[in-house]
Amino acid sequence: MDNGKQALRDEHIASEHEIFQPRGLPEALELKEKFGGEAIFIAGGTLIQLQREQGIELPRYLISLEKATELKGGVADEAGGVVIGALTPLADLRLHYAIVKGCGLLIVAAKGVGSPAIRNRATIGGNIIYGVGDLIPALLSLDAELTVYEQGGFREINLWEFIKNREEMKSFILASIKIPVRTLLDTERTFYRKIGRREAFIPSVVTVSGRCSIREDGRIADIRIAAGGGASAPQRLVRCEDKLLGAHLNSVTLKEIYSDICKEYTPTPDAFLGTRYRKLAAANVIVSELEQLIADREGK
Amino acid sequence: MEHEENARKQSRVRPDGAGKVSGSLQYLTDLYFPDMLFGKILRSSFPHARILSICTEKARQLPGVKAVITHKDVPGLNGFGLIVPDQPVLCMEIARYVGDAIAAVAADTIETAEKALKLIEVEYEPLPVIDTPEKAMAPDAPQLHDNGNVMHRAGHKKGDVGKGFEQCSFIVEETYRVPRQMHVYMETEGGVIVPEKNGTLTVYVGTQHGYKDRFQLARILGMPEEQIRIISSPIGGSFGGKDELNIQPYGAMLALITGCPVKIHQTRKESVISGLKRHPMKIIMKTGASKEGKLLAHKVEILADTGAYATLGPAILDFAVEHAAGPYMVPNVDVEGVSVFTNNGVAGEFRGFGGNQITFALESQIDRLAEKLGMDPLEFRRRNIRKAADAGPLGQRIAETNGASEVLEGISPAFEKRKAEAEKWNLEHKWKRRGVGAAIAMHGGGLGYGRLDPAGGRLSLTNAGKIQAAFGFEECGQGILAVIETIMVEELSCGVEDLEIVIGDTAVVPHSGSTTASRGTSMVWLAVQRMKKDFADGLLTGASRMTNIPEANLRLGNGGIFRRKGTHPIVTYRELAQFLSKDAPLIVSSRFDFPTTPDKIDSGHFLYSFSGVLVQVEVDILTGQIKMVHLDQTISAGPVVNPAGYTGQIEGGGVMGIGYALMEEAVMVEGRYAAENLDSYLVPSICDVPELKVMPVETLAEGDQYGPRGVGEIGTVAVAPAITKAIHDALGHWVQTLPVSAEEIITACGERGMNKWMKTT
Ligand SMILES: Cc1cc2nc3c(=O)[nH]c(=O)nc-3n(C[C@H](O)[C@H](O)[C@H](O)COP(=O)(O)OP(=O)(O)OC[C@H]3O[C@@H](n4cnc5c(N)ncnc54)[C@H](O)[C@@H]3O)c2cc1C
Repeated sequence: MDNGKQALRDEHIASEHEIFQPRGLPEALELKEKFGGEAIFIAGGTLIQLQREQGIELPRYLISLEKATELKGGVADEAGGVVIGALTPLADLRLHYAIVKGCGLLIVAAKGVGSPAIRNRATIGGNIIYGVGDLIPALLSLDAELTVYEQGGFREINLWEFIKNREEMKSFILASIKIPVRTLLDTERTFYRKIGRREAFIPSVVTVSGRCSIREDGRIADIRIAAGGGASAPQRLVRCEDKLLGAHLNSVTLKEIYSDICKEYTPTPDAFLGTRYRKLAAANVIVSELEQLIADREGK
Repeated sequence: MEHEENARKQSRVRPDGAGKVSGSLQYLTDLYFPDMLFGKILRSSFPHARILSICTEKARQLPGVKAVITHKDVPGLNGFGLIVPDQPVLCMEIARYVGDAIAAVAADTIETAEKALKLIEVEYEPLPVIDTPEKAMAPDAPQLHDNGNVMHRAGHKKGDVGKGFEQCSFIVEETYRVPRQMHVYMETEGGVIVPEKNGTLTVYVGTQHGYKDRFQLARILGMPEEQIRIISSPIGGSFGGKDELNIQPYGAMLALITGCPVKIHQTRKESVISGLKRHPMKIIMKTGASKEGKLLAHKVEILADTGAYATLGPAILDFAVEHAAGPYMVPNVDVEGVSVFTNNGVAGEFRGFGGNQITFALESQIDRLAEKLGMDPLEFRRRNIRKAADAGPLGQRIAETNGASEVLEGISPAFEKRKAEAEKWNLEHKWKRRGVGAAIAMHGGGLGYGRLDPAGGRLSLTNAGKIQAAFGFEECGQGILAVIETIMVEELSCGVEDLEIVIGDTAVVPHSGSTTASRGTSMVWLAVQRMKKDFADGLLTGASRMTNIPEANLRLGNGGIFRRKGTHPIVTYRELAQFLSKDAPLIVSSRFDFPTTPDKIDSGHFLYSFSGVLVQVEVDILTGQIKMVHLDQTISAGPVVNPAGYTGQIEGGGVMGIGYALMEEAVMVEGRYAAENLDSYLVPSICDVPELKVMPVETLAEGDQYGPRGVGEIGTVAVAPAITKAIHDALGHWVQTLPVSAEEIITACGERGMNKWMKTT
């Protein structure tokens, strides 16, 4: 009965927006350069839909990346690491043995995003470009490398460098994400925790992720700590990492690192929770994980 | 007999169930009519402003726009409100909240209507925003209404609290704050208003009280009530939020002006901004007890934020005042309540009706006092709880009930068990702690003494041979159809197939009052009790005349009239209807007032239901998050009519209570909603719902003639205090502000040194 109405609506959208489905990266990038700020790339489209619902106007030109086959790629277990195509849906990550084996944190992180329907459409690339996506802290703790396509061709860039320099970048398309292989060292612990205002289907308030390994002598051999959540871009807590690298983990260092995290992590408050809470929660979770690492090692 | 008992316990498949779960049922917002236009309402840009000018010229010129209306176009009274019509339909001079309507548009598409809203030019002069009740009470505060900023005062006094406190060995004084909660019905406000060829108007819009809408609309439109027909059912959820008018006046005016059906269906954001909320309250309570654990004095001050307009605000304050001492017998009581106007949205009716707020404070006081006394909290309650024949909380006579003790004893055995479970669990977990808490509540049904509370219904045998039961109620998800079906089948012994239930249409239903205040089930039962004998006699006399068998040897049954011991109908209802239609059709109706106390005590209730709530929570020491583990509710509300419906109401109410305690708050910043959609205004999802248990206590006092009480509200009322007590049990920290803040909990854990490194700064 109301098909007529639906058609009317679609027509209306079509008249105001133009949708492109380029077949390759060069064409896609060219379109973006041509329309500049009036155009936007669409991967899964879930974030864009959310933003439109929040009242952010949809740009006039929509460039779908779905047909740019270079991005599909899926997951490849290459020498040096696992390569994930930017258009890989979040729900698919757990289907790849290479990811299950080498980067389980990503699966945990993906599982906490939105709802099943969202995860079926949402892509890993879109999550990264979102800037505050839940996968970013996990990717930071895994030392992810991005391959971006820009004028002049492909370029590799470390995710943390990318986050810091994103403002300065011209038009680009994220092509793939690589998680470098690591030879497992002694006792290693990885963690990921998303804290929201309810159990599920919830934007994050605080998200922390990390990876830490201890040598035989009890000193830290390798460490990554990342924290994000809310409107704050995820950050690597580099000063804390530097301080811990090579250090001996014990209750004294834990106390110190607790206040260091509170200092270095700079979350953004909103109408519901302030910075203080975010700092305390992030520091608690990270330190509890480090403490557990001591216990893990002593348990050996 | 035993067979009957079993049949009674069986849950009925809801008559509306299949349509709802399969999605085939059409709600009123799903309706489409030929030539239908779409309406949109322009709301104020400011929470408080003087309107200097409104120019609709550009909007009118937009192709596709069929009408633009402002205050100038309101034919009758430019105001609405269930108690006083103080809310302008369309603002003329002053806007008092962000949901105040300034203009409305009808156009041929939603998008055009939206565009037209943007083209309406309104010049405002922003005025100072009163965003707290404290500001509203300040001597130099701008006055929001002619009679000032005090919307309503209510109080109750008994004994002498001053003297009472002198005799107390233990006194607890505390300030509690409870949030602005949103109903979050799945179907936002909307429907279609159709101008009929004969000049009448048909309003297909969900509401809890069709006749009241008709009355209010007639007053606004300057039209006789009889020319307006309200079709108000089914509704996709309401919880009290759709008792007041919402979009109906705009749709009606636009329909009358354009001569076309007009559909308005608010988006979630529009609904958040314009819709009602639960009253936020600040409650100061001072409560004292003797060292033997007898409550002696209870002093209560309530400050409620009613927002910009009154709607049912006065009645809600009265209700909170009445329930301030709940089920406890306290010799000296002094309750003073004031509800004030602010520029914060509009607060109004919401499941629990002021009871949730006051019960949180009261039960928190009881637990704090028990701790001071060093007494088991349930034992402390036991020593002060009302007895079956005691007077009601306002000193009024009430229907005898031992419900308070029954629910308390109902949760008591499980209390120890859950505590033992929690303690064992805590030994095995490092970063989490579980705790157990309990609370009880007493809740009045119906509107109370001194309020028009008409009830009634109609039974008839239709020409097609159906037993028609007609009530002026709405199905808003609560399951009233299943209730009517069950009561009819049980009381008349007819079959489900013999029934035709008619509700929610002022053209065909009698006056039954509002679908509110847990009165539906009671009212249906009471009405059927009043009508069943005459109706059954009518059927039997007819059948006797038809068959020449004496009435005494006949009975009603499934499909028709049976011989007393017969197994097949000897006359079907259809045959009987044909026979009877030759003379007068059989119609029996009843109109009565919902039972209230015989004592002249304003707003005093007569029928009460009770709940005993037992919860177990899990506190995350690292993050301050609270997770529910168990929610058990023992309910005393008379016999269960439909077990599935009953359980659904209590469980659903319980989950709403969890939301109230742990996450729901329509935060306002300077009179504007900080969360305008469900991505930031949070309601519990299924992952927040613990194991739920509902245990009905069905006994009534001997000789009770009032039957089953409604259970629409009681499941929400005492959940929050049980949760905060459980948090206290886990951490030793008392919460006094809802929803519980994770920051407060994480700080409390830090202060208690619950881990080695944490120190609060
Ligand atoms: C209901 C709901 C719940 C959500 N919950 C969460 C949550 O819990 N956690 C979370 O992190 N996110 C959440 N999101 C946001 C979002 O869905 C996810 O972050 C998702 O991963 C985004 O991926 P997408 O493919 O849908 O991105 P899109 O919406 O297609 O794009 C997002 C942005 O990235 C750009 N972009 C996408 N791909 C590329 C590329 N290859 N190269 C360059 N630019 C690109 C787009 O131009 C756009 O600016 C939620 C969204 C919704 C609607």
